[in-house]
Amino acid sequence: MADNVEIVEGCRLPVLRKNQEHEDEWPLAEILSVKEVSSRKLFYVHYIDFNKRLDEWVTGDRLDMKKLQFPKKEAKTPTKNGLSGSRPSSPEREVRKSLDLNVQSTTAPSRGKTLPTPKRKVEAVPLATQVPPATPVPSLPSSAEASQASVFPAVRETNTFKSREEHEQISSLTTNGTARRLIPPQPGRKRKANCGGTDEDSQDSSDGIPSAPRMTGSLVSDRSHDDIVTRMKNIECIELGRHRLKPWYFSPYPQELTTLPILYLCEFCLKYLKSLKCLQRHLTKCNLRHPPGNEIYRKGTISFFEIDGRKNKNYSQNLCLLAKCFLDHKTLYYDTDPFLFYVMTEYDSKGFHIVGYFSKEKESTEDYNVACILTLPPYQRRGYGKLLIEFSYELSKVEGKTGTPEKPLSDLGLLSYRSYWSQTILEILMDLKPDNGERPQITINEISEITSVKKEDVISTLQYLNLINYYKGQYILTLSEDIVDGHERAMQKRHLRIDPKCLHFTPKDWSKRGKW
Amino acid sequence: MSKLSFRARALDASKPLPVFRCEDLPDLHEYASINRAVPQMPTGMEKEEESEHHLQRAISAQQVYGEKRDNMVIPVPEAESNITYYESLYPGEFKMPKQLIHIQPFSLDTEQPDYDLDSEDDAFVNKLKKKMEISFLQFEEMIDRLEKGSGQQAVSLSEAKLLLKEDDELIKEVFDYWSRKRKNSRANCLIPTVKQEKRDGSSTSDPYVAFRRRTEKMQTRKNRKNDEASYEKMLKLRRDLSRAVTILEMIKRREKSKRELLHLTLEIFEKRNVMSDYGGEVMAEVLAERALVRPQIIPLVPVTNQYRHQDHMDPKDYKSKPEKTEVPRQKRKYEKKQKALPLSSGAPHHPGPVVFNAKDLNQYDFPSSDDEPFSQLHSGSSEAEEENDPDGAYAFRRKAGCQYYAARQDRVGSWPWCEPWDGGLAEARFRYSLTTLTVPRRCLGMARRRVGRGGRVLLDRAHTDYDNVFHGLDPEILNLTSETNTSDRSSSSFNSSLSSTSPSSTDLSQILLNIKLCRWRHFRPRTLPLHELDHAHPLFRKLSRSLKRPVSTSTCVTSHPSRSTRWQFKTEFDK
Repeated sequence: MADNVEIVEGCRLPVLRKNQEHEDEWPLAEILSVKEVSSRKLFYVHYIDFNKRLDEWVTGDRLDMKKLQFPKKEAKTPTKNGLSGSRPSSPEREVRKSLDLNVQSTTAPSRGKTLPTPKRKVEAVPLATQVPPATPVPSLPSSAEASQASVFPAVRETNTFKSREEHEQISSLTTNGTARRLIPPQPGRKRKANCGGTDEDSQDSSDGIPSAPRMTGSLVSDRSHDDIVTRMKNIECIELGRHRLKPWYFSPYPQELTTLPILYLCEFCLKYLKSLKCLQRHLTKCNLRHPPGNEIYRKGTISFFEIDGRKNKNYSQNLCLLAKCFLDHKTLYYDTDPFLFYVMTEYDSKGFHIVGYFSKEKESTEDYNVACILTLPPYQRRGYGKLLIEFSYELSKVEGKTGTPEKPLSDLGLLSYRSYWSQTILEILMDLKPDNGERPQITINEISEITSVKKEDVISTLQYLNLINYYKGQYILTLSEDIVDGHERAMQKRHLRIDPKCLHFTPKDWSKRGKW
Repeated sequence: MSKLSFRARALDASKPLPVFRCEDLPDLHEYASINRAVPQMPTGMEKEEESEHHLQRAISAQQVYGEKRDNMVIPVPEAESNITYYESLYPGEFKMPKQLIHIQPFSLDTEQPDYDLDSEDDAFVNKLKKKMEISFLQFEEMIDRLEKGSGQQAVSLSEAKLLLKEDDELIKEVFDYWSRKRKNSRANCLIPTVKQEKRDGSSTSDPYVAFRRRTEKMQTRKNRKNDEASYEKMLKLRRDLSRAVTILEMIKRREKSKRELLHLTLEIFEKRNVMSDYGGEVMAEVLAERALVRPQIIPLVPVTNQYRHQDHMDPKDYKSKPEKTEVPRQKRKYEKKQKALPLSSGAPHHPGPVVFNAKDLNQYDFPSSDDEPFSQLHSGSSEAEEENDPDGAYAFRRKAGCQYYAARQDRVGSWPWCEPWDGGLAEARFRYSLTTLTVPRRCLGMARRRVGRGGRVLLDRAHTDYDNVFHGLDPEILNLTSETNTSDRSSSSFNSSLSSTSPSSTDLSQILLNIKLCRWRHFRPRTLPLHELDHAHPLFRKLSRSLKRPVSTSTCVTSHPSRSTRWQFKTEFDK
């Protein structure tokens, strides 16, 4: 049935996927890209309201064509920050191109690059059902929009096609290019709402010249530099030691490596290699069996290594490239110089295997004690994340500072931190003993000092746990039975802990060094 | 429930919060409705992401069950950990060191080639091995060098031979193989590397460019201050050095002049010896002559900084010196002006680059916005002199082109104007004579001239009984006397018998008659009406000047000193 209707980037329709119970479900999805592999069409779909780590290439038979919604031809969505110059060309054309050239079966989606094209004409081909023509669709998230999409005719010939050569030229860039502007952002899409009008937003919205992002921090919430390329995963699979990881997000590994079915990483220096053969050769030369830094913590098989982003650029960059595969908001725009990397490893007879890491600005202007934090997928849901977080606060305790993770948090980040904060604070509250028969009491500042958790995070946790109550003219903290039981159960499961005695860490005053 | 109307106080982080167990507070629920008084904190997540299905499900599951259920976790793409060849890939064991691992600085910089041989290379090298000796590592090293030796453009074979230390034959083989492979590769490089930013800034939005240098902004901000300071220091240093150079130049010139002077003195001495001028009469005569005609020798100083400095000085001078001090000063100023103006024609008050001529550029001093003209002002005189100069702007300063005589102790007056009993020549034209100034136009009575310091011509006035008469004389009447007399060099053949002290015996009409008949000398210096000019409109001043003296800049340079002294000579008559 898909034969007579052309599915273009920006179309929405239910797509079959298996949920965690291995049941079929048909969430609404958006087509981000179309490619043909051995004359079979594949569609890159983003499930609306699902994190984009679940985006995937699907075959046509998983699409519910009956409920196909064509992209609202958004007249001119106010160009988001700067990318107007390099906007993908119009979807229709792109699709045609990819159809014209069945050549690119092997071309991975990410080979694409946005082309500077003249602004898309508001090409009003449409039809009867069309909603007010050329009404700019505000790029406000609104779930209502989804249903308004106008239906496009099956075939459009209004676009005059350029000469063949030009197609040839662009051929390697096809398939993905477009959807970005096409679809009004929906809730759940990663794009930032325009209405927020945050600082960053207003900063670089001028003149279509993308300005460089701020130089501090490691995360972007401003997606102005986000385009269709970075919205799609570009690495199919990474082999790292014993593990094969399916990346969740785009990562700027060298472009020629993105077409590989598997990208090989040296488990210890994280160098990327195009083939197993190369990895083998590399391993004859690479004698690292641990991250190339100083071990500042060891207890049992768990160790932490500190790596200076300036002194050990190679490793830091390799680590960032790997981490980007799993961190949506991480930016690799700038070098790694102002960061320290704390790599957590687990030892076995082969060496110290990376489990996760967090990075930290040498000097943070905003009390951040963590920039990016990641547990590698094979180690997730086993308490390592909390261990990383705990370690980050132990460092802050040594520094005598309170700290907070850099924002924005990811979904998993929020859950992990909330969980850590909850357990840490509850641990303190439950341990409070009555003082001379008086009811135990504690200030928020005290909690913050003891835990090095920033005050705001303490408050938000207390709120989240619903511990703060107003009672008889004053605020009190109340511990319900549920909370206490839940906490005790959770703590029983939490066997991995940081032992401050095993930490050998002297903070450096980076401000005195002039350079990071 | 009336409590509800109260607004809850803001949560104070420094205020102790009592900790209760819920079971201890059975009436808590009654107060529960105002719990919301503490505003909800942001989660720190992106708004759109916060609403994602799986997260919301996980959060609510947690809130319902107190902990996450396995099927309520946020799903992520799968990862496998069953690489079967792992053991063989990472052979050997690594024993955990007892001590914490400490990396030695630079220990990571291995000499190993970054290039890793792939299966294609493997086949090639194995084939090559049959012909010549080569190891995998050696091959990798060669490729590594070739790759790193090439930028956008691949190295050529000849360059490759320089890069590689292997046999030519081997180099040729590997080079050919490498060139072919490189050409076929999609990337421009066989060692995959993360894309670097381009200098032109075109890569700002290229998603594949990563790890850009962040130095730009931060560095400039840090260094700008530095730059400014060091720039200033450099300017100062340059100025000081060029000053030193100037001083040395001047010293050199001074010493040259000294030597010249010595030679001349010797020459004069010899000449005098030849002339048998033992009494010094000839000498005195000559000197007196010179003092009047062109009292100064043309200095050997050609175009130099100094000249320019004077130009520089002019406008400054104008400002710093009070206009109305003494007339002579003013005159001198004017005279300096004269020098400057012809050069900087059209821009009299701009001592800027216009004034420089080509030769100046060869000097060590280049015009710079920072170099205020004044800084060079005194470079002609020595530093010490400059420093302990209590008179400031009014201090005596040597003037280029002027000859300064030392005070004579030995013989008071071997001067042409001195009476013979003073050892002078008592020349007729230096005798006391009736003197009329042109400006102000009045008759002074009896006066004689002599040359004073700096070549100034001074008038010694003599008191006579007829002073009242003289002063009342209408200069116009005296004007009737022949023009020949007006010149200061008038060499009237009429040699008055009147001695300087004699007029007392003559009566007025006699005197007038004598004057008119040119029997009496009547000295009327040709002084320009400078006051008027000085106060006149600058344009007029210039005009009048140029009328008198159409100067070409090139010649004025050398002719100037004599001119200036002439001027000086004339203007000093006001005294």
